[in-house]
Amino acid sequence: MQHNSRLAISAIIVSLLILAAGSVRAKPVTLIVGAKAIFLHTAPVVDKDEVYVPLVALKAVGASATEDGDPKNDEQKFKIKPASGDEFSCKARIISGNAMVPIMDIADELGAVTQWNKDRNTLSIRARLDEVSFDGSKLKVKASFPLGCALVQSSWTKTEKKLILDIPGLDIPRLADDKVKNDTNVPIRLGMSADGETGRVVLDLPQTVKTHIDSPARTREIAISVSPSLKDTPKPPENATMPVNTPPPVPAKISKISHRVRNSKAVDVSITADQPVKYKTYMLRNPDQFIVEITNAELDMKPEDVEVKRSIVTRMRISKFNDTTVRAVLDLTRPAAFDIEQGKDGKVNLSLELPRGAGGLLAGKTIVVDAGHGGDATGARGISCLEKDVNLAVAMRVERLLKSAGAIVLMTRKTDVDVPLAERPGFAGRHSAELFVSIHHNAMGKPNTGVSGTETFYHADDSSSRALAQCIQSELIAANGLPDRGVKSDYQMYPGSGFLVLRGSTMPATLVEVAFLDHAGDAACVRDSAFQQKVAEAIVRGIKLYIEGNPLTPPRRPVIKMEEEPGTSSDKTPTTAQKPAVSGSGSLIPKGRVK
Amino acid sequence: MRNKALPILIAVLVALGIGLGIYLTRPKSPAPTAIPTETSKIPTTGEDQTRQVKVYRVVVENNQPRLQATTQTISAKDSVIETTLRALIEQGSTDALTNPIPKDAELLGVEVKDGLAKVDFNREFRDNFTGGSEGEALVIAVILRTMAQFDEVKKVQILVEGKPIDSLGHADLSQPLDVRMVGSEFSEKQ
Repeated sequence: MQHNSRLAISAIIVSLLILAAGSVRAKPVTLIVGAKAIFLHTAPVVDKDEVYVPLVALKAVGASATEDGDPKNDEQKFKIKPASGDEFSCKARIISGNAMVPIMDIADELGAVTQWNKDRNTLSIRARLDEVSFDGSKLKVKASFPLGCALVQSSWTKTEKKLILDIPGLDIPRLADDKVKNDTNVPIRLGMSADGETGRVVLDLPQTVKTHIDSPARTREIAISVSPSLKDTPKPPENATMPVNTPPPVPAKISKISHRVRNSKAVDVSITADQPVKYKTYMLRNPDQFIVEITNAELDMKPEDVEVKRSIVTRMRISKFNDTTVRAVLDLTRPAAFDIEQGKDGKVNLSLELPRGAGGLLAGKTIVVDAGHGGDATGARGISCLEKDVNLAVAMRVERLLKSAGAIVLMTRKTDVDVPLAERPGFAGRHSAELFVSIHHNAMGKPNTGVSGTETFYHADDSSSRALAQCIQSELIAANGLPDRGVKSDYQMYPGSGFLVLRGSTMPATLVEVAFLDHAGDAACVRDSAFQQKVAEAIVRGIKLYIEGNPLTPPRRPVIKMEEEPGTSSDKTPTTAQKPAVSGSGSLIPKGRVK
Repeated sequence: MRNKALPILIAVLVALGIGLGIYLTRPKSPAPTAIPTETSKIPTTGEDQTRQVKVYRVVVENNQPRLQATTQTISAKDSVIETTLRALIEQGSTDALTNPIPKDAELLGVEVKDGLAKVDFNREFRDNFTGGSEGEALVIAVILRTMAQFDEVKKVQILVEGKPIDSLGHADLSQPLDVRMVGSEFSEKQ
């Protein structure tokens, strides 16, 4: 306590000194554009209601500036050319020899949304959403200044396929449906990520599709091509999930969410409902999030938004998602292993943990790479290829890549020999391997079935193996362009039995089915060595992601403070406050410094 | 105590002796293949002794294989289970429906005893199987799903030329498989 009060007193003294130093107070302000901090050699300066940034910062919002006349009285006029629309002029101030422009004024002119976070001393500038359009084969998102995007076809549940387009730095207001031009029956939903910095466009897909980002890396008009066209998707039947002739059940009331930090690697969360509920779970990447979607439920509590300290979960929110759905969103520091079960009383108990064998670095870990089949056991017989050969080709590439990353790699076979199925996990166990990755290729065994794509298996309901499978599958589908068949338990194929090579593993284990060798398109890919390399690299990235976490996710992401703190009106915070679309009103973000 | 126990002991021994006698003099079973038991449970349609059975094939929708039944009318004079299995194996493939059973596979025999059906295939069942994990799971799924319609079959053991096989590549086939063990992956299309 004494320590704290001493700190507070010194903070006051320092502030007074700074105040005395002059009207322009140099405070280290971080500018956030496109959900990323923009590093500037000349720090932005806050003065009154405005933030002054060096001219170079305009690039980040797609604008450029040219001098307009000569400087006078520490002021310089500039003509600003935005990415769209007309030129306008603005007055820059010369501060310590640098021309600094009022970014909030400029952002207004650009149609951008600014948000000031006083606690963190950050200013976010987000592009305004102009339009989302979808005609079945092209998805376009127009923003007020150029942004990048990330595209994920989510497959964490088998029945629900979603195309998720994340656009860091795009602001999507709560009621933006009028901005959607949808010429199909494919439902399109808009929202914001948990940190309020990333706009998200979600399509509920009727089928797996091939996607391609057609637009350049940073653009005002993001364009995604989708094939086959979803133009003729039939209208989804109302209440499709509900059996006919059953009266709609009374919605469950969700009254409480609580958490317990077990340790730095594990958090337990429980959600209280007044009756057993139906839920779906999603594990998302970039940012790493775990979502529990409770259907036919309503919130019987205020929306909650809680920071979780010192563990794998950093933030936990619960809010109404739509009229019949409640969503709990957990921000994670990295991909996690989850277990979820429901008590008879309706309480949903959830645990999120650092998966087994994860943490630390890939370098130094012992990993068994298993090339499926071999010798007389040819495995699937594909179009101009045998499974045993392509399995080995990919496995050898994985071995090389893992070794060059510093891992200790043990191969169940390096030549064309058969190794009994049960011997493969046995070998991994005897050598104290931390992970087991089996590489296979699939086939229907009958011609012209049209079945194609990539899937990754884990055993039974082993949560660590599932996390490993999710990490590898997400990298694979992002890299190889084949249909995403999802992450599956081997119990989905053989309930109570599973695959022999996975069943015998004591360490987290996964079996990758890269493609269908009796599908002409898949087989042509698989025979190509460049494709094999791409697949091997994706598998290694997935393994690295499982062990080391997502390099794109900072250890803790900021909680954006929306409300102005009372009693500090002298320092009026400039804000065009825009709450994240998914979080409800009256967010309860605890105070405190975010590391 | 002893006086009371002695007659009981004698009675038990006599009963065992009679049992053994009956067992040793029981009629020999006619053939090793096709011993249908409890076929009385299966309803037959009147005098022509035909019966409707379901056989399964694979239908692919949205890149996802599922099972679909077709109904066949078979003569109930022969072993219903054996006839149904032959129908399952021999049915062709169409554009929409694929029979996943490997080419030239033949049924050598089926024996049902105490809920366990031992289904014996020729070697082509194993040697001509060209699929991966998906194809393997579908072969097993159509066999189990077809056998599940018979009340007297609870488990299925797959044999090749009379001997158990370990696997077709991924699943453990060395043990009898519960007929309910069809994966949720392949939900039946109605």
